Amino acid sequence: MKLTKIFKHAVLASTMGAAAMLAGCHNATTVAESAPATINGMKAGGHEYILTVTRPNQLHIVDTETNQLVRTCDVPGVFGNGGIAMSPDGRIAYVMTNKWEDIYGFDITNCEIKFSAKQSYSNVQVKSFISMAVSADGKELYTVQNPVRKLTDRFETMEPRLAVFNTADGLNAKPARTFPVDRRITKIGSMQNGEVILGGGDLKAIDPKTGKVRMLKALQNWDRAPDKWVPPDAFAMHTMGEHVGEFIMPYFTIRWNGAPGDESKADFLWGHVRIDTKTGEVESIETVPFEFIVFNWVTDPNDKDILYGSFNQLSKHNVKTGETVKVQPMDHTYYNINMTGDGKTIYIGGTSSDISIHDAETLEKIGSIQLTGDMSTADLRLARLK
Amino acid sequence: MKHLKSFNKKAKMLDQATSQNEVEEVVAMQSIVGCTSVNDPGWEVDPFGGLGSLCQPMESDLYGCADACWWPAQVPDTMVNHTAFGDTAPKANEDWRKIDSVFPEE
Repeated sequence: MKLTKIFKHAVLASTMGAAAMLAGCHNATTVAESAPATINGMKAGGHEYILTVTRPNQLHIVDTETNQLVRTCDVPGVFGNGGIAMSPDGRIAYVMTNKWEDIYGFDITNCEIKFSAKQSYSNVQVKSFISMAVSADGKELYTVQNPVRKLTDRFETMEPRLAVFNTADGLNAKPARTFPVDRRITKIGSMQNGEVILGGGDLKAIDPKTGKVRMLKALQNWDRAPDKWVPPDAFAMHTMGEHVGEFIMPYFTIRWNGAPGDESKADFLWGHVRIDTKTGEVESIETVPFEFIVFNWVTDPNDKDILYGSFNQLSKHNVKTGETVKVQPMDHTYYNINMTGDGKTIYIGGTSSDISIHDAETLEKIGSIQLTGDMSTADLRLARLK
Repeated sequence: MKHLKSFNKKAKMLDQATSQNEVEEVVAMQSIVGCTSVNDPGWEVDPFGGLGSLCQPMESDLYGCADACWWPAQVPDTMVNHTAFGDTAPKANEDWRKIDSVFPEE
């Protein structure tokens, strides 16, 4: 994570060059094919792109080196919600579309559709609220399905479930397995151990092979004394953290230092749950004063004590000390935030039709990317094209 | 209202709070989106009693409220019932003149 892009490219180039000299042209070609410098004209070898979806319904791919829009893919169906989950090789973007029901997997290098799944069937309407993730090996796609059977005289609310798709099933894929899960799960992620993080009232993990669920971090049902703490109000909407291999979710709480309800002695705090998707380590901490709204946090790749948040302002916080390090006013409200793996550039999106680009050190605005329409609730994800 | 049954924890809390006249104890935003999964009262001031932390301008937040069925009474719900709302206005901040009200079908 701490390697600069230039250094990574230099390492890649020198490795490929050395392989060519040592092994001859045939083997050199093999090396080049396994780690191509470009794929369909797009820089690969770990090059980073920012992806989002806008109205009317298009997937956009932005090169983080030039901050230029390099490709736009038309997404079938009606816009909504524009959620994105990336394959681990950074090549396939799974997009939630058609009123939060269907998924299409795009090869981001040429817009070719490699995967599709329509979740509704017969008289059953199936919505997935944001919740979509790809397994660490790229072989499975997960959604949380919220089905409703539309009968002639009533709607029958069915049990929510985790649906497991095989990404190799291609077009018109059907779930290979389903398992019951809690209601109101909106934000999910996958861990290296194969489990899927379920973000909702509490944070749990499910084994997508057996359906076994375990608690990662109780939030709504935490066991803190009710006369000392208010149960967290989590904002489990967008998923990010791929730039450092984590799942992070902010929440709001109140610590009563006096009598419950005595706001004059209370601390109003932002907290977060942060899960290392490689080790499974769970961190939960409340230190940042609740001074303004943020929708999401992203972690500085060079200092995990530093978080960035966005909404009506871009803010930088030290979660170890609780200090608000910097605040930068924004042109308008933005729901979403992400950043590059070198920790230098922050991208802020969602809501309107422009991605705002900022220097992570100063938080100053250094650029803007105009898109074809509003991002609304769409994701803003980082892809490393291998 | 007697035909409505509390279905999840939040709804049960709301029932209890209503009966005890303690609505403020309900955690309203524990989880979001989905028409029936939210209980968002629609507020006129931000959590700090001001306006600075409301979405600005409203055009930036318009589709975010419509698409997620966040405020299905105040904004047409594009998730289920009014999917064509906004079709002629991909950029709300520029195309707001083209955005119209919706009406019940005859």
